[in-house]
Amino acid sequence: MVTLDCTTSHHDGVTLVALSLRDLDESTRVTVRNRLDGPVWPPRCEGLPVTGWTETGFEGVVGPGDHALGYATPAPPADPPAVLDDATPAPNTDGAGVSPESAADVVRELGDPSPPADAVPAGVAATTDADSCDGVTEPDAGPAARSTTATRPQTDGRVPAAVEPWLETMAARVEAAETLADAETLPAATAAVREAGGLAEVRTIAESGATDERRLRRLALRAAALADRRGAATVPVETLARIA
Amino acid sequence: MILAVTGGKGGVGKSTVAYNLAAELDGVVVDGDLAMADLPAGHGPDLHDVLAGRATVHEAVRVDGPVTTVPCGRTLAGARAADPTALTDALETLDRTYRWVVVDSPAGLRADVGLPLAVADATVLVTTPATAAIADALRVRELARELDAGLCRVVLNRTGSDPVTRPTADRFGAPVVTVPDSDALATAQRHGTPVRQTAPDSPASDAFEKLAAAVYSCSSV
Repeated sequence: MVTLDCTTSHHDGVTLVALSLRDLDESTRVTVRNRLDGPVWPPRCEGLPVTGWTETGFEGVVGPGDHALGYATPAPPADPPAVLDDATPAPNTDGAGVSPESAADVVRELGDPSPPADAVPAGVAATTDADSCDGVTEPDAGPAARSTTATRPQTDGRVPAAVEPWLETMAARVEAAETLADAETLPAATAAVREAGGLAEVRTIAESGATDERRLRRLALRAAALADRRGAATVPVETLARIA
Repeated sequence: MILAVTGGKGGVGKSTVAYNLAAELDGVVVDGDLAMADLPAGHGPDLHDVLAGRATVHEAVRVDGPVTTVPCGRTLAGARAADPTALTDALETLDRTYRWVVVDSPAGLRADVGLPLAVADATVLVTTPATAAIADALRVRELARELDAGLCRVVLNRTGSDPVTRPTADRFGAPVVTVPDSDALATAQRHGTPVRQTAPDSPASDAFEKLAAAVYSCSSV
């Protein structure tokens, strides 16, 4: 049995009417008529009344479940402000426009918010989440977390987005190499190899050592040289503005 | 009651408002910014783990801080592994336990903003007086309307001492609460503390008290 609950509130000469249609078992065509003595000011989307709203009220097909409707009018409140004139089951029509949105609908409509795959640095698995998160917020969490903090740039000297993923990859490899180098006991070595992703991965890390070091040093030199030149060049804004 | 704190533009103070509002309401604040979390975290499972099916949402609730929090992971890899559609279930689960579930939404207009709005009972829009921020907030208001999350209050953040609120209220069609620019508030947020704890007599603390009272009144309609 469909029921219509109405509440009204009056602000600055405008009556706001809130309606809830409850307990719809299936798609139903409903007609809700305004009984207040004034024009219906319907909800608008892009400047046009939302689908289903007319001068007298709302008419349209709504899906099963509960639905909220609302409109405004300059007329004073009265009881009841609106009535449900008609509710006919319309099982073969979609409750288009007023159906409650599922989570999947929202994602379909607005787009997947997950960061793109290219933004995620290679070699960083989702399971490292807790560790790295602790590393950022709890500098005293442990040696592993501390090294993460040291290699990861903090918010105030932020590294440009284009460089960040590559630096992250480098940081991950350096960390892996350090862990492997520090492993002195058999259990520690086993754990380090497992963490690195197996013996093949350990070999890759070992082979890439010289190249990585060369690239990082070259980047540091170039960045330092550019920083010096940028620091020395002062743009004479005032002078240029005067002569322009 | 699920309350989405949203605003469209980044950096307008959504997290600060969400955190302090949750403190006033004695509710739980959920860091819904899956790719750029900024509420205080700590040890243990977080929202990324919940959305990836590795933990239940109750396991991710932290009660040891000054405000009950569901923090979010800090890594992009974690954000990618998370299923955003699971967020609605997680929020509804919390809603059954907590009187107030305050969601700190990310910037933008993608599904991570829409999903909390789809289950929210009410919205608090945060904006600064800057034109760009207001334009983005109006876009989110439109989305909130489509998703049936009624607009409860507009928070005009970082205002001067005597702000004019009428034009903003008219534009949004909702009452405005102003939060003045405040060093006490910025410092409190940086240290992961609600401002009512560090500076209970500050104007910012008063503003959040007012906002909480307004949210109470929205919930009783």
